Amino acid sequence: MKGKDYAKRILTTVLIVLVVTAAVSAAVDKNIFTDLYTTVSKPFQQTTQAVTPDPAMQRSKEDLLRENSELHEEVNDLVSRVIDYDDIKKENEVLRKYYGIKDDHPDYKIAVATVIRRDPNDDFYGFTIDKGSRDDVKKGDPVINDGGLVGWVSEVSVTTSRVTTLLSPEAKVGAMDQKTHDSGIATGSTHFCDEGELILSVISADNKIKADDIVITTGVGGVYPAGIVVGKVTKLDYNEYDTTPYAVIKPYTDLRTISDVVVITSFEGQGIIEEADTSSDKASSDSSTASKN
Amino acid sequence: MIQRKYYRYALYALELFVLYLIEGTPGLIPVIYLAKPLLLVSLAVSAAAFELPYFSLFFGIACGIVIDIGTGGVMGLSSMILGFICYFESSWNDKYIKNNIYLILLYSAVSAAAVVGLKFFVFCFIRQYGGEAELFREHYVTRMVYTWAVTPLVYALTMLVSKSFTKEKRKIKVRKRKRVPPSQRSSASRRRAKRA
Repeated sequence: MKGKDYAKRILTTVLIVLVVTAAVSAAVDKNIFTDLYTTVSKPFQQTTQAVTPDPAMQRSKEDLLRENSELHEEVNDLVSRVIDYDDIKKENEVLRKYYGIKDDHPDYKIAVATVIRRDPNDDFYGFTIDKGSRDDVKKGDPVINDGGLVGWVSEVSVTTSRVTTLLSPEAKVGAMDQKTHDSGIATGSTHFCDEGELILSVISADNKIKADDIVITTGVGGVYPAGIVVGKVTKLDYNEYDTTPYAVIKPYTDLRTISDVVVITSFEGQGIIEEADTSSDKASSDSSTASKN
Repeated sequence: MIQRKYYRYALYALELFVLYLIEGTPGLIPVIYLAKPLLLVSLAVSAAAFELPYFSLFFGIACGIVIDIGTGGVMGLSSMILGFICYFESSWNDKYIKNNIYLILLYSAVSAAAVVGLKFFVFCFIRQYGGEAELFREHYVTRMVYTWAVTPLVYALTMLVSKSFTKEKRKIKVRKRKRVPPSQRSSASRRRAKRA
């Protein structure tokens, strides 16, 4: 009898301890028993894990080879996807960059192009782009990028076009100082082309152009749209032979290393010679006739 | 069976195409003193060292046309010069002086100077951009020198192409006649010697 009472007492005590433990563990966030258990068991767990062979090693050689080839295929697939992703990402970035241009000038029809060739025989950093007559590119179309005017299309084939940059002395772009409205002709110079700069020539002697002024296109002549940035004035100087003033312009993008551009295939006022230009031409022809007389 | 020379011609054409791509690809060839080499000039001169005059003439013209296409503008300037130089190089090789690397370097220097110099004359000197001397010194001279400097590399490549598809001439063995002393000669041969 005495032994039965003893057993009952032990069972009751254990039950009470368990109930208390359950109550405590439910009430308290941090379970001391779990912590204690995991702390004690962790080294053993690690040991057993270390000595137990890897389940992968237990498989047959054929299984492993098959899995290996599958993984190889998967890796190749992922690599090609990554390459595609990079291409698409790059294209997306370029399109996004030029989306602003289209947004600002809804009248522009543009073709985004990439520089595919720079000929070693070109002195003024001209290049070939991957867009041609198939993409509505025509000879004389202006070429720009996010930094401003780059040049014009000088030759067109079906799939490619040749672009002459503003660094070429053949470039003659009607341009003006955005702040002072002093106008002139932006053209390349053999002296400045290697620094990636051009000059604003035929400016008046009493011009108010200063360094850091922004030069934009006038749009006169209908070859280039008005308001396209040509560059920033870096200095004013005088021609050493005839002392006429000129301003040195630095384009916002380095035209010598440019890699993607936009061809404006159509814009409002393209090919239309403005009245001011016509009247000035008329005036100049009139004056020349007068001087002849 | 297609002759070996046609394989060789096809490889020259491939070499022309590849070098054209290499020289025009932005950033592939380092720019030294604002210049990049005209690899096709070196190629035309190198190929002429191994080929017959007429092929050299046509290949020179082809290289020149491709150079003119790349440059844009007047077509036929470079082809005229290269065709002419390659034809003479190949003819002289046949008749007078065997080509070697030093001679190729000389031809290369002449071709580079002629092609680049004529381009300068037509595109810059006549158009009077201003600052021609500066332009010539900083762009054209370096371009000539760079073109000349890469010639040995292009020559080595072309030689490889040429040698791999050229039939080696068989060595003809000449039997030497044994000299027979007069005492051992036959009576007939003695009579022939007497008559002589």
